[in-house]
Parts: sequence; structure tokens; C-alpha cells
Amino acid sequence: MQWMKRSSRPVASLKGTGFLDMNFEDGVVALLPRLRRFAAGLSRNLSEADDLCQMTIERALKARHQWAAGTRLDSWMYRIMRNLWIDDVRANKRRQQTFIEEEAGVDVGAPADQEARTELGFVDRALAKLPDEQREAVLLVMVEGYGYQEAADIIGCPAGTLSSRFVRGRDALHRLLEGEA
Amino acid sequence: MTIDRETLAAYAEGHLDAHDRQRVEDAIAADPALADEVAAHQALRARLQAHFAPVAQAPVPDRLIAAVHAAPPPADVIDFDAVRRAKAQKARPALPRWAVGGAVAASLALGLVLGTQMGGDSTIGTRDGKVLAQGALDTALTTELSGKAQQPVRILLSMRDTGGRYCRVFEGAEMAGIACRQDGRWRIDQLQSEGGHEQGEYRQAGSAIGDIMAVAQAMAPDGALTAQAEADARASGWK
Repeated sequence: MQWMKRSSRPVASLKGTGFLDMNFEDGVVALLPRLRRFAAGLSRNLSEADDLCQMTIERALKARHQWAAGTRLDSWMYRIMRNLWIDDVRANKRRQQTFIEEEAGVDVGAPADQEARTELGFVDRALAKLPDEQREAVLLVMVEGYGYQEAADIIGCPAGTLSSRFVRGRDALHRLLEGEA
Repeated sequence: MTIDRETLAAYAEGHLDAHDRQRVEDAIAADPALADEVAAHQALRARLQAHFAPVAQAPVPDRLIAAVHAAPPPADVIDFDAVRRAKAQKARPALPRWAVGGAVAASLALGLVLGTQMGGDSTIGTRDGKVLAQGALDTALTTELSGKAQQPVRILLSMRDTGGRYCRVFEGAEMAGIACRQDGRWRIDQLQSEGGHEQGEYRQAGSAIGDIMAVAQAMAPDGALTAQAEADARASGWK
């Protein structure tokens, strides 16, 4: 059938322009590298990050009718991931007492040598010491490149709250890394 | 002139507009400590980005790609035949006229929320137990061609169903549906209100039209009418 392929329901193409013309699945696939990066920052463990990604994808597909065509798919997906992390994964980990040991370091990335491995350890350990609300603010602004308002929309807090959490988190991270270097 | 630290950080991130950027740069020119703070911010930013770059550059695992293309869950679409059957079973008298929102939901045995009207006037009603378009919706279905940005109802496409009826997919402010021409009236075959059932802050205004289009695809073996075929159908009164 020409006017509608099975794999591309015209949610976006009927309504949107530009980015929105991309069908839903292609849009999600295009976001996966960024979503993995955000997941790795939240969970600080790559295999756990991929589990979080998978949950996010499944939740997004289930809720795809709630995504309003004409709005940004990336913000919507980040919001799903962030809420899954806060409400589900993290709470579950606390219950099960399997939270990754800070001193164990993290296997984000693929260090080529000992120096790189040490560097990875510093950053991950420092991030692990931040309160959740500061860590997510730092990740969204500094790593993912969102503005205060965009990051605040993802988290669901006022922009002023986000920006003060961000600056506190940034300062704390700076101090932690200065101390360890 | 004072610059708060949040604004200074936004400057370091490159998020300020020209006016605020100039304001911060003036302040920096007058206070070297601000320049140091910006430099420290950018160094930290570079370090974080370098740290996470390998993750974003690595190939995405196959299982995640596969998860995206997994079969979507069934569309949550109101089937009006089911509504009619349920109403008949309960031997309820047909409502003379559908009200809005909660009253409608309460009147339907299935508890489906029709939610919102498309315009100021009632656009959907019942007659002899049939759910029919009326008012602005009836007018749009009868007179409008697909794809025009009409308010309050937009017609997205026209088609013939397997029974040979002309059917049209319509979309209003907070609902979408399919109406089919039968016995000189537009019968509402499918209707879905916007809004979802999921919990959580990420909920957005829904896109009912996606599910409706999936139903339309299943209804019309030959696909959508061409613009010419649609115009011809309109000229012949959708018979």
C-alpha cells in the first residue's frame, strides 16, 4: 500500500516538517547513541546502561501515541529514560543493595591503557558522588548539550531549580576532580 | 554590574542570546575572576564530553535496534460496533443526543471517554441507535477535500472500505476518527480521543491519529483515494 507502509505510521509525516517527517522508529534509532551516553552517565555501567536503553525503547513504543507529533522526540525519550531511572531502576537497586561500589570504578568506554583507565575511574567516581538531582542536571547540560529550559522540561522542574542544581553539581564535580588529580 | 553564576555558566555553555552574551562579556572584561570561572567550566565540560564520547561513538548493540522494530502494541481504538453491541446488550435506550465528556463516558457501557468536542457545537450524535456526524463535522466530511488545514475539523484522507462505502479519516483538536458514508449520512466508524493512559511526567498530548491511521490502513484494501477520485466522489455525493 503506497500511502502507508506498515513500518511507518504517518503520525509524523502527516503533521510535521523536517525532523518530524522521519518516522517514529527511525527517529528512535537515530537517538540511540545519545540515549546510550545519557544512560551510561546515569547508571555508570555500560551493560546496565543498555538495559536502561532497552526499557526506555519498550516504554516509548508502548506510549508512542502519547508522543505529540510536532514536539521533540529527543526530549520525550530522555524524559522517559530519566523517569525510568529515577522511579524504577534506581529504586530497585537500592532495595536489592546491589548498587555499584564506588571504589570498583566503572567500565564506561574502552580504555586503551592504564592512564586512560585511571582517568575514566576519576570521572565516574566523582559523578557517582553527586546527588542524583545534580548529576542528571550536569549530564543534561554539559554532556547532552541541553539549555536550562530544555533540561528542566526533561526533568520536570522549573528552569531556575535546574540551573541552581546544575551549578552546584558542576562546582562539586570540579572540586572532586581537582582533589583527585 | 553583577552576573549570577547560573548566567555565567549558561554563557560558558553558549546558551545566551546576543544581548545577555554582551552583558556577560562586559562583566568578564572588568573582572578576571569571571574569566577564570568560565575557563574552569569549559575545561570540565571538555573533560566530561571526552569521557562519554566513546559511548556515543560506539556501535549500538543489535538488541537495541531490534527492540525499536519490535511489534508495536495493539492500537487502543474505540470500536463503535462494540459500543453498539454493548449498549444493545444492556437494553439501554439510545441517548437522544450525546453530551460531552464525563456524561458520555458514563453513558457508554465500555466507559470510553469521548472527551472533547471539536468545535463549539456538538459534532457527533445518535439517531436510531447509529452514531452519526453532525454540525461542523458533517459539513467538513461532506464538503472538504483532504489535506486542507480546516478548522475545527481536518480531513486527512478518503478511501473506500471493503464494503464499497466511502470513508474519511478526520482529525479535530483533541480527537480523531473515521466516518463512513451510509444511507446518506456519515456514520462514525472509529473514534479516538487524545490523551493517554500511561502514568508519569513524560506524558504528552496524545496523537490519536496514529492509531486511527492504522485502522484506516486495515479498512481500505486499495489505499487512499487520489485527489481526483476524491473530488469525483464528492461531486457525486459520496454515493
